[in-house]
Amino acid sequence: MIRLKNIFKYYSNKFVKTYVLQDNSLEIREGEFVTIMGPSGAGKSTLLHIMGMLDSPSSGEYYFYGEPVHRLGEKQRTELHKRRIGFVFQSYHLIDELTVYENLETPLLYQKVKAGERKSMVAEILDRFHMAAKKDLFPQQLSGGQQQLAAIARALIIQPKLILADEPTGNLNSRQGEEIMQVFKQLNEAGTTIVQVTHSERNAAYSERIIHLLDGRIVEDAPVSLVGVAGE
Amino acid sequence: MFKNYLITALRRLRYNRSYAVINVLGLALGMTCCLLIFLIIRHESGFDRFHRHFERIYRVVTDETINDKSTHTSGSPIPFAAALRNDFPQIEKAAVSLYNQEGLFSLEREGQVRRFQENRGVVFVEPAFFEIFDFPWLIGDPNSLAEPNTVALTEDLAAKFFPGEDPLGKTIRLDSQIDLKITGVAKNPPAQSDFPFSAMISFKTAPQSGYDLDSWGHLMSNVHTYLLLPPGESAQALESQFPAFTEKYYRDDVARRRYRLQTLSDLHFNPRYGNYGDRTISKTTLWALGLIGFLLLLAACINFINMATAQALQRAREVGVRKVLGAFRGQLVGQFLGETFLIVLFAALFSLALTELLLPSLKTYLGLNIPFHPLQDARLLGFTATLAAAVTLLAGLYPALILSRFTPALALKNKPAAPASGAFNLRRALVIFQFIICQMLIIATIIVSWQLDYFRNKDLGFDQEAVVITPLPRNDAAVLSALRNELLRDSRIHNVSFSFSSAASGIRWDSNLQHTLNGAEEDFVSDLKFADASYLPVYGLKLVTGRNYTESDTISEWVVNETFARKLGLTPDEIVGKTFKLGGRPYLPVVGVVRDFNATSLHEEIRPCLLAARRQSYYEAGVKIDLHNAKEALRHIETCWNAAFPDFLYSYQFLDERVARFYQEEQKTAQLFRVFSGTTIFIGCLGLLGLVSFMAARRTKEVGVRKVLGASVGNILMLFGKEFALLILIAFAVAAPAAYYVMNGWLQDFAYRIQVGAGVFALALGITALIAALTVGYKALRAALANPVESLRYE
Repeated sequence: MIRLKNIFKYYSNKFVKTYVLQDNSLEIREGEFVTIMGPSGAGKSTLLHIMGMLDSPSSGEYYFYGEPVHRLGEKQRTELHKRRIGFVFQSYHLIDELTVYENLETPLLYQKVKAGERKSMVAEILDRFHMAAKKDLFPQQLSGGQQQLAAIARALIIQPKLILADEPTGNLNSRQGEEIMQVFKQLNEAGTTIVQVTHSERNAAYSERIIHLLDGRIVEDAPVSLVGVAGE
Repeated sequence: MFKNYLITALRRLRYNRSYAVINVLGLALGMTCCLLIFLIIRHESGFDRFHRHFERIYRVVTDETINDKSTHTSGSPIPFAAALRNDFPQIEKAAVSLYNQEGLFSLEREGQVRRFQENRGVVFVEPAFFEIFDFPWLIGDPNSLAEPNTVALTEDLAAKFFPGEDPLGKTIRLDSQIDLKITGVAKNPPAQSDFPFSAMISFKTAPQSGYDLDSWGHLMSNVHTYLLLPPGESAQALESQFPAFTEKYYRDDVARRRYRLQTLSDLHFNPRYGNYGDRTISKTTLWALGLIGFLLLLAACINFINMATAQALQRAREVGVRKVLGAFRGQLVGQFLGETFLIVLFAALFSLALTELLLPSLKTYLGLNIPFHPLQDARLLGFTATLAAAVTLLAGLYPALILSRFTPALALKNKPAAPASGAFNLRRALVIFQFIICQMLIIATIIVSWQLDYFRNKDLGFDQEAVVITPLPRNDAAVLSALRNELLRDSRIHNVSFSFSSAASGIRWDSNLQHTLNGAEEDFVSDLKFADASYLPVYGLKLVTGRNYTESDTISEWVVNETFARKLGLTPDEIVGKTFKLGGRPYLPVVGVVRDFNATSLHEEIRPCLLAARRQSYYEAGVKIDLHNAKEALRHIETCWNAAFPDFLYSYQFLDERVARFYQEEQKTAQLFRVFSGTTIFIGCLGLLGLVSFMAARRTKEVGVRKVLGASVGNILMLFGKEFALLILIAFAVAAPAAYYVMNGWLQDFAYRIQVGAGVFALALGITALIAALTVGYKALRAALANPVESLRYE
């Protein structure tokens, strides 16, 4: 599904090049549940953003379902990710001016889904996440856990093949975090590929494979059983 | 999709109310100025366009060379039209008209004599005039004006004279001496016409008013010859035949005079010749007005751009999210443009309302009758729509492109890529541009105001205080001496002088004189001021040398001004005793020289002037009164006047008011400048506010760090102040020379003008700096006073 070859990412100003990612290659197959771990500033989020086509590598190749993403223009990349990839962020990133309902509807608008169909899709996902009663509330009126649920619902409404989650439980308490991870687990079991970035060993335990990043390089890539996640 | 955008936009405006208000207000002000200017320009450029033959109508005007200087007049000799008809059969129609703004009408109604002083245009015309122009008659036939002592009235005047009656066949009397039979009623001339007539009298009646229909020598600016050329006929070809043609009729002045054809379309715009409406507006003024409107709009758009990009940080996250959810850049550009359009739409509606509100005062102020019916006015609506579309693009496109360019990964972290703060970026360029507009208008306003102050305070060479001017409808010796005696009976009346015109007057009379200073007889052209011997004391004219002329009914000796002597190469003392001849009179001596005085407006230089007594030419009385008892004095003058001229209606004017009226147009210009520069400054302040809030937001961290390192509030204020001082200085470097160039050109219109010195520029710079400091100060102070812990928390 995802194949990265010799990915570099650096920022340069007049005098210095700052490397965020250095020569990383990686493959992720459909149906996997992958965790990216590493200390702050290791390049985890950047790697995730590159996978999600929100950012482009400075050099290297990226194939998504065999498509050479590194050769596509912005418009084609958008076309590619908007049907296949759902994003979940640490700070939810719901649009403040829109209600829960309208937030969920927005990706469908960008996919030009017809009004009637949109209505039933939003209704269905609200139902699935038990949020029907909250559909007319604005994000600020929800708790953090509810906001993240809404954000996940918004990511799922396009029925993505891949979910990219950047510290999805970072702003939540442990009970809310647990709930979110349960949702991810179910989704994965139903066939959705999931890549998450997290600091939490407990969250990592939900996945099957852990990639460790240090100073922009992949230093370890192994199945969970071999990494030996410590159950606290 | 559209609904989603609309909801976002409306909710954003609701959350950011102050942002919305500033934006709508700024744009609405800019658009209102544009709408008003559009209405003015459209009104001014539409004059007399309703005539079917507009393109083919010409006026004969005259350029004359006097004392080696060329002068221009809209007048042509009275017999010119008839001669044209005679000699050029190819001319379709030619007609002469003689216009007097005022006329006194008396008529009998219900057994009583009623008098009406009409000041809306009394004109002697030939019937052919109505075949050239489209001034339709409702009753009667223009050909009836072929007979002498006939008149046609406009509907308004007919209704005023004979309410509810049929005016046809009734008789009215003009200036208490000429009986006129009403043979028609014409439609009121439209507001957009330079032919503001209310009574049209047959031209053959003019001799009874003292006009000589056969005089080729006399040129009066109110006698116009109009002609209609057939399609395809060249005006130049005709013009080139004029010298030969006029030589046939009037040999004397062929070398001195040149007759030209002026198109009807030029009538309203050429101040050289003027028109019956007595108001021209130069195309340059219209262009300048249009330019000011455009600059104002630009300033408003710049404002918007600054505000919108300053807000970009807040919107970056939304952009990121929408991109993550699959929005194309084009869709985001569309969304932001849509939001701008929404604001512009509010602004446009607001500006239509503002225009409706402001137009009446502008109309009164400029004396323009501009209609405003936005809902029935397709062109106005079209203009407003175009304006809205242009503003949306001008103001919205750049912010939309900037916002939609953010890469989602960075935008989501609220760190959209931005140009380094030291760089010379577009925003700074825009603010500099705004400062340039502001400073140019400020400089222009200062110069116009100072020039007008200069007018007000300039020594005109005569005393304009406490002199009441009133017309003399008759000047028989008995009437005048009785009037003088009656007036002087009251101690509040200090002195009385009868003259052709007051010391300063819009009316000028010049003539050719002969002298033999160099042996042979030579010509010399001078202004003539006929007046009694009290003229010098009443107007406070000072004798430089010699004495005043003695009281007399006819010319017996001269007094001249200093310029008169200088132009002839003589000192005042030398010219006393020299003799000059006017018309068929003998050579008469100069007995005194008066200090130069401005006999016309300060637009013109002082010309040679000749003063002498000649009762026959007295048309005005100048009455010097005691200002402390002005009310009683005025009442006394009115009583005496009414006793002397029972058949006429009294009117008066103070001399200083008359002088002030010379500069009415400049006063209007000054006021317009003040209004527009005030608006620009206000819009500019809104823009500055936008920029400084952006800077404050952008530099929150820098300010925090500096404060942690021990910077004082003053240091932080300097940080902002330095930046703006630099922008103001750069703008000043552009604005000062540009404004100097433009305003110097404007000043060339005046023979007496201020010197544009460093003071003007220093003042303009000071004003700009002060306004900027006040605007920026508040926000900067708030940034400086902010708790550094707060500002660093999110880093």
